Amino acid sequence: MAEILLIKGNEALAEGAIRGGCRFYAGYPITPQSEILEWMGKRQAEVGGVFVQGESEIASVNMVYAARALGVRSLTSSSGPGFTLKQEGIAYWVSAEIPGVIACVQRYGIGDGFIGAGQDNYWQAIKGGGNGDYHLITLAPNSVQENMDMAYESFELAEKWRHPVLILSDATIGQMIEPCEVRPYKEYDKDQLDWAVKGTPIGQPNKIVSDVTYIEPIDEWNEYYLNKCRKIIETEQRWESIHVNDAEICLLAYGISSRIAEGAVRKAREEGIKLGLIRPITLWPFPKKAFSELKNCKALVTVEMNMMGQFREDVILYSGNKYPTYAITTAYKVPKIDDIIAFAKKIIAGEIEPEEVF
Amino acid sequence: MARKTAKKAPVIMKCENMFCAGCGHSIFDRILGEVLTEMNIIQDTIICSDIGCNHQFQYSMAVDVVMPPHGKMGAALTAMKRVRPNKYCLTIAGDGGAYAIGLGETMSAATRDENVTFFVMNNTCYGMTGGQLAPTTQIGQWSSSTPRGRSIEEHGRDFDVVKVMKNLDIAYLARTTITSPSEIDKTKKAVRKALEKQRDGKGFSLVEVLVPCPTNWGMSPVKAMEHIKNELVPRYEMGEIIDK
Amino acid sequence: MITEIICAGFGGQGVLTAGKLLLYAAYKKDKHVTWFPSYGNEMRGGSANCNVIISDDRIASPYADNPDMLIVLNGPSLEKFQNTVKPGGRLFINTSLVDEAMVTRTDVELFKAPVTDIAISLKNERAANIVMLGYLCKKTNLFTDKEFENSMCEYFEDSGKGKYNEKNVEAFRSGYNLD
Repeated sequence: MAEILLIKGNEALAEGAIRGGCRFYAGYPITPQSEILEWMGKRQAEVGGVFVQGESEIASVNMVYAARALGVRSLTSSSGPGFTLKQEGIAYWVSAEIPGVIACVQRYGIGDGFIGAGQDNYWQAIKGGGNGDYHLITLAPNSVQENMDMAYESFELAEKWRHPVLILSDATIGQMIEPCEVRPYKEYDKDQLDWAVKGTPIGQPNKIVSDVTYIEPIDEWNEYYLNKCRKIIETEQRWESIHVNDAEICLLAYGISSRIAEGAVRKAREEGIKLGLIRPITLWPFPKKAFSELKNCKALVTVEMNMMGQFREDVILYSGNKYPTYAITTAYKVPKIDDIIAFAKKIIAGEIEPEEVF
Repeated sequence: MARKTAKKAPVIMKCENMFCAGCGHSIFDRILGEVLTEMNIIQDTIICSDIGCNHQFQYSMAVDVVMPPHGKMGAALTAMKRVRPNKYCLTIAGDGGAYAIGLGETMSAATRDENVTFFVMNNTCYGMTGGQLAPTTQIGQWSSSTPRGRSIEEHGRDFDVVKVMKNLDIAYLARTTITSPSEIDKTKKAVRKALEKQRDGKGFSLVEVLVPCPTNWGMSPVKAMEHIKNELVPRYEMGEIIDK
Repeated sequence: MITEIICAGFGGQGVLTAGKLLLYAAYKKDKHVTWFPSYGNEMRGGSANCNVIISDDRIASPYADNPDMLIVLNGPSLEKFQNTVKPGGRLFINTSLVDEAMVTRTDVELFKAPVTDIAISLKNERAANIVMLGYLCKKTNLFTDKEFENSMCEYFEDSGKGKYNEKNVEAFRSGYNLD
C-alpha cells in the first residue's frame, strides 16, 4: 500500500522533489516557504544529495544554475521579494537552457509585503520576471498532493524541453496539512544527459554552459527557441474542467482560489445556478484549449488573491476577448464561496459591468 | 649566443586569443593553460567564467565552462564543487566581478572556506565596458566614470583583497603580477599552488594578479607594465600572504 | 457534513498539536481533512492558532472563517475568536486561564473545563491541550474515546514521542471523564 503522510504542502513539495531525483537544493529562509529549505536540509543528507543554504536568494539561484549545468537535478524555492531577487538568475537558466526548477510560495504584497497568502506574483511569474522573451513552464498546484506530484515530475518536464519549470504555489497550500500519498524514488544519473558539464579530455569538443549571447549564431538560435516554445504551447497545456459545458458563468481560478471556486460551483448548482470552473494546471502554457468546451457561457469570472486582476488579463487575452470578463479580487484574503455566488448572481441580474483593465 | 624562442603553446590553447594588444588576460590564460596541462588535469577542470573581458578565455581554451551571471562565481563554484567534488573548480574573474557586484558571493565562498579557487585579474577598472571606476581603482586614478580622478571624498576608498581576507581561515592567498618573466614565473607557481590546495582539500584559495589594461589606461603595452611596477606594486602587499 | 474547528491559545500550550491530533483522528476515520496554522511572527510566544476542517467531501478552503467549534486555552484567544463562531456552535474554554465573564456570546453552547489545573494536578502541565481534547470528545460525537486514544497514541508513536503515551492517555481520560 502506498505510504500516506500528513505533511505541510511545503514539505510535500520538497519530498516530491527528493523522490523525483533532486540531489541539489539551495535556498534562503523566507516565510512562508522556509519548510522547503528545512526539509531539504534534513533530507538531502539522507539521500546523498547536497543542501546549501545560500547567503542570499541571488546566490541560491545561481548555485542551482551551476549544479544543474553539471548534470544534477536541482531546485530552489522562495517567496515574494525573494522570488524577485531570483529573476536575473532564472533569465540565465532560460538563455542557457538550464532545466532548473524553482518553487514560488506566493505571499501577498508589494515589496516586502506580508507573510500571508496571496496570488499577486502572477504577472512576474507568468510574464517573464527577468529580461528578454520568455515564459517559464508554470505549474499551479491546488493541494498538498499536487505540491508533491508537481515537484516529482517537474525535473523530467524541464529536461524534456531544456526549459525551466516554475511551481507557483501559495502560502495557503504551502502551510496547510493534508494527507499526501508519497511517490516512489526515481533513479537519476547526473552523467546521463549529453549536455551536462563534467570535464572533457583534450581532443574532444569541450562543453560550455553559458548565456546564449556568447555562443550561438543568434538567428538560428532564435528560430530554434521560438519553435521550442510553440511546441510547449501545443503539447503542455493542462487544465481541469468542472461543469463547463453547460455553464452560464464560467469561473477561472488557479491554486488556492480554485478550491474555493470549485466549492462555489458545487454550492451554486445546488441552488440551480449554472456555474462552471476552468482550473489551469499549467499557467504557461495557458490552457486556452479549455475555452472550446464552453457552449452557453455568458461571462467569465476570475477568482484571484490580488488587487488588479492580474490573471484576468490573460483570460481576456487567451479567450480572444469573446466574453465579458470579470475578476473577483480578494487581495490578502482567501475568497469565500458565498461571495463568489453572490457575484455571479449580480452578473446574471445585469447589475455589474466588468472593470477596465488596469 | 643561443637565442631563446617562445615555448610551444600547451595543447589546451586551441587558437589565438582575442584580447587587446598588451592585455594581461592573455598572459594569465597562457599561464593557467600551462599549469593545467602540466598537472594533467584539463579533463578534470571546470572553469566558472565571469562576465567581462576575462570570459574570452572560452574562445581559446579547450576546457569545460560554466558561465553564471556577472560576479556570481562564488555561488556557482560552491555548487559545482559540491556536486562534483573530484573536479577542479576555478574561476578567472575580473576585479569588478569578484570585488564589486560579486563581493558578497566571493566573501561568502571564502568565509565558508569552500574548496574552490579564484584567480582574480586586477586591472583597476572595468575593461569590457570602457574603463569605469572599479573598487580597485586607485586614489587619483582616472577612470571613464571619474574623469577628475578617484578621490576619497567623492568616490570612497579603494578595495584591497589582502586587507579583507588575510585573517580568514582559508588555504591560500597570494598577490602577484606579470610585468617580467620572473614575475610571470611567480604567478605560475602561485596558480599551481592554489590548485594543489584544492586537490588536497585544503579549502579556499585566491590569487590576485595585477594585470595591465593598456586600452583603458590610455598607455602603450610597455608603459602599462611600467605603471604596474611603479604605481601599483609599491602600494600593495605582494607575494604569498596565506599558505596553509 | 463538514466540521470547522479553531484551536487557539498561547504559543507553547500545544494548540497546533491539538489541531494535528484532531486532524489525524479524523483522517483515520477516512474523512477529508485539512489543518492550517497561524505562522510567522506569531509562531513564538504570543498567540497561536490553527484551523482544522473535517469533511465527508473534498474541502474547498482550509480556513475556518466561522467555526463550528472553538477551543480557547487562554483569554486573548477568546477575545480574538469568539465572535467568529457559528450561531449554535460550540465554545470550549479553559477556565484555569480564561475568565468565563469574558464570554459575550449567548447563541453558542458553552463548555467549561479547568484543563490547565487538571494537567498540573497530573504533573503534566503541557498536556492541558490533551485534557481539553478528552473533554471535547466527551461533549461532541466527533470521535469515540477509543478512536481518539488510539489515533493519538499512533500519532505520537510516529513522531517519536511514544514514550509519553501513558501520561497522555491519562490526560485524555481526565478530560473525557469530566461532566
